[in-house]
Amino acid sequence: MLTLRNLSVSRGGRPVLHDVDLTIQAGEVLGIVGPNGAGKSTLMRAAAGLTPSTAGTATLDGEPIAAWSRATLARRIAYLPQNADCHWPMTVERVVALGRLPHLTPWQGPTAADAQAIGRAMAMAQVGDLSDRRIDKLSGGEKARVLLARALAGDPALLLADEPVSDLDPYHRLDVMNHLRRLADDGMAVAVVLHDLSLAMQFCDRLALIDKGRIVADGPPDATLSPERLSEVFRITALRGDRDGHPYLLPWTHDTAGPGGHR
Amino acid sequence: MTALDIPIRQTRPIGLFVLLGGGTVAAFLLSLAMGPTAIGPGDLLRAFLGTADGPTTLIVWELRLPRALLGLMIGATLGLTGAGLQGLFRNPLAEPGLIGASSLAAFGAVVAMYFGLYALFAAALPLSAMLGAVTAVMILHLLAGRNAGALTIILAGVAISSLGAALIALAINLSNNLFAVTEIVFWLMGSLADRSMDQVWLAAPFMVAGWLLVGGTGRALDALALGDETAMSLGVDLPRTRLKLILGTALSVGGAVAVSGTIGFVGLVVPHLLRPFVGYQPSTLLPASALGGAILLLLADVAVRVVPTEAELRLGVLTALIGVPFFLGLILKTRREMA
Repeated sequence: MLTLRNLSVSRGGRPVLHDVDLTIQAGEVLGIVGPNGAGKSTLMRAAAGLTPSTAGTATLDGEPIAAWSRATLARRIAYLPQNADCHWPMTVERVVALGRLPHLTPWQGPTAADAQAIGRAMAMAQVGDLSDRRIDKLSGGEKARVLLARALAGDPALLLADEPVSDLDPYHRLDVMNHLRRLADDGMAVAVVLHDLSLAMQFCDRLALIDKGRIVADGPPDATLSPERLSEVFRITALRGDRDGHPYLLPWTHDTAGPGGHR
Repeated sequence: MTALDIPIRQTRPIGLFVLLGGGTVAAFLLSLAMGPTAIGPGDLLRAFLGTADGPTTLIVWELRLPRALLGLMIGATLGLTGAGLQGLFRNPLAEPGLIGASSLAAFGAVVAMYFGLYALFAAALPLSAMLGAVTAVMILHLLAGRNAGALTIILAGVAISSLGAALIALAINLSNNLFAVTEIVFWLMGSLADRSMDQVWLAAPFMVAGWLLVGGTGRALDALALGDETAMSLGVDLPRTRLKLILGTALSVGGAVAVSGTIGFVGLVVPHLLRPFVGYQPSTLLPASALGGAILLLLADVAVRVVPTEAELRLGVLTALIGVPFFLGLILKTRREMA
């Protein structure tokens, strides 16, 4: 689906990503994890074709992203930024409908297919009962789910979600992660930035660990988040265990004056 | 709940557009009827059918019609471009004057008066005003660059407006011709009085071209509600959208200022009042604000004719008197929401 090869990105003259190699496949949930400022959001923007690279290539289905028209790209990739918001106080249904913009014919209204996709996306993110509410009157968690529905309304082949669950309570975190899991099982490629390592461990097929702009590990969650890497990169230790054959992880202590020292 | 249980209504506020359309027609007819000589509906109809008496036909065709047409077109221009700029900057305080186009267009007109160019050929005035508006856009591009944020564009607009005001003040300062100074000062106040069809035909092509550019950005403005990056991820060509809006504003506002002088605040007031009635949807707000702007300016122009003052009240003075308190109220409201 999406392949990044030796990708480097600078922002404001400062290099943010170095030599990144990463692939995202249809049918998998790829988790992007790493400490604050590691370059996770820049990686998502680069994958969405929103920021120019200084070196390397990003290809979608074998074609360089730069060669795709923005309109075509928009029908294939949905991008949900961190702290997403809607500036005008529109109703939930209208906000979700914005996700259909890439599919609309110029000067023509939405079709029945558009209406169905909007309904599906709203049901998926469980915001159907909010449909006539104004988005500025919603709680942070409700708003986050509405904006996720907006991203899903375009029926993308690849969903790039930058911390979609950080504003959610535990119930809705589990709920949204389950939905992302199910979308991937139905064939979507899902890349999701997560700060919650427990969720990353539980729901992702694969984790890419990024630190100081470099991918330092890429593989099964259990192997990527090895005790050594947790200590080196995150400066924490975690409790680990096994439930019905599925490994879990719980961040437990942080390293106050460890070998890594202060960053 | 399954997907099919959720009713999807892409609501178009048809009622609102019927109301605005009807209001525009009514305000237009009122503008034809009202004035020193009141003309009844029957006479108005006969004037258009060509069966009215000579003076009535002359008043309707030569005096009232150009004035009403300009009120309609300039009001629509100010409403439409205000809604477009507010959508682009995601800021309810934006308006055509903001990017400095009105200010430099007025300076362009003042130059034409100052040097008496318009006495040489009539088109000098509008052309000079449009040149001013286009210059404002070019300075904006130089100051703000290709990928500037909204704040940079707003600050650049403030600088350009100040430049326009300073240059106009310079022209007045250096003038030793009291007649020219009086003419410039009155021009700056904005008016639709004593205009002819020549001015309508002169300004119309520029205004219509500007309307087409701004009107074509509706869906991009909808996407921009979600922020620049998300809009780009939805397929919006951001630099192109900005260019269309800024160029469209320069063309239509330049055309408007050329024939009416500066008329402010219509582009600020109208989109703000109408926004709740279109569900805050930027694309729907564009046509609604065009109609709303036409209604407001036509009615304001009727008001300046009806209000019994010794000299006729200037249209731009009236819109500013209404607009400035509104503007201050809007700032207070925006501040409260941000606090």
